[in-house]
Amino acid sequence: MFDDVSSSSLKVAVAGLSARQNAIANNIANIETPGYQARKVKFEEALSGAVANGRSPSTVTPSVQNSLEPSRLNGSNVNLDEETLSHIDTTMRYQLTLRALDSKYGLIRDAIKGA
Amino acid sequence: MSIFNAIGTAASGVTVYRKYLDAVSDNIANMDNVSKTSENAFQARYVIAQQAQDGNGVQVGGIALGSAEGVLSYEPDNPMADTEGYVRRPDIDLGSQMAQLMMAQRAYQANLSVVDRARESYSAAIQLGKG
Amino acid sequence: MIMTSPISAISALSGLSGVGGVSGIGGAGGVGGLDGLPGAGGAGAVSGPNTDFAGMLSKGLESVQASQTKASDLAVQVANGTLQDPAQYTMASTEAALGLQLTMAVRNKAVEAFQEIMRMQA
Repeated sequence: MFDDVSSSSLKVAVAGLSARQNAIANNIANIETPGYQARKVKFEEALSGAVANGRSPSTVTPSVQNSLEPSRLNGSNVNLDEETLSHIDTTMRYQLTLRALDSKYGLIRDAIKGA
Repeated sequence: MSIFNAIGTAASGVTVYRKYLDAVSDNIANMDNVSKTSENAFQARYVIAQQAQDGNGVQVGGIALGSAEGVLSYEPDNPMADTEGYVRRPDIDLGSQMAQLMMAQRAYQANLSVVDRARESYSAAIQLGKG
Repeated sequence: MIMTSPISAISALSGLSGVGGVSGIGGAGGVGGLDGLPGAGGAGAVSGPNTDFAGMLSKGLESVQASQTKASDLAVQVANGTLQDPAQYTMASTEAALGLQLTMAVRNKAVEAFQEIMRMQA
């Protein structure tokens, strides 16, 4: 019932943004850990690729990769400013995506009440 | 703490950097300690961070200790001076301790902010679907 | 007219974008069959949607059952603290609840419409 393209895309986005938030939290926790490599989560390209090629968005899973940026003096390659800004972006998008899903649920709820 | 994964992870950061801050404050507070040459000087303490074992966040990997020899200082009038007039003072430089303090403070604040923002996100997730 | 209101309500349900699921509950044929009912409905038109509809309803209930199982499994993860993202649970439980309510609303409207027809024919 909730597997049309837009609902499906929204659900993939929720999973991807949540995974990204976890990666950011981990990066910020390890900002001074020697030898730590920042983790990045990707899913947007895969998602738009799937939709453009007519594949179901539910086939897309978020992927976690290590950042190849060079390490700073203390041996961690986390860029705090970048992570902070990314976290702000991620949390706002996460909330917006949830809001979009909520309106879809609202449509169905209204249909039920009207029936 | 796993459901709200990001909060648990950031909380580990808050804990580790709190310990870091405490250690550096302690180093600064004890900079002017005087010890007899027959004893160790006050040793600076530094927290070594390492990735948490379960992959979520950070933990204290160990504590590095500064020099036990410290710096020999010629102070014949000091009541703790040895027969040749020397005492030991800690080998701690205020400038570098302040730099450490600022670094630990920044890391501490950053992790606290993550907890805050993550909490907002998770609250929105919990509200999803409510009438 | 009394006859048209439950039917137009059901058509309205399937007409909503994003609620492609109503036709997903066992095929457009079942609901479409009801659309064909106003006025002339003879015995044939009555038994047609009746059997189609049973199939449609049972497929709908199966998918609702699946979504409820998923929501229950996630609820267990919530309880023992292993769930990674709370949104997974809230999405699943909302969808399970709405799925059931929608299926039952469609069923109730169809039953009402059927009863109207039976009254007319008597």
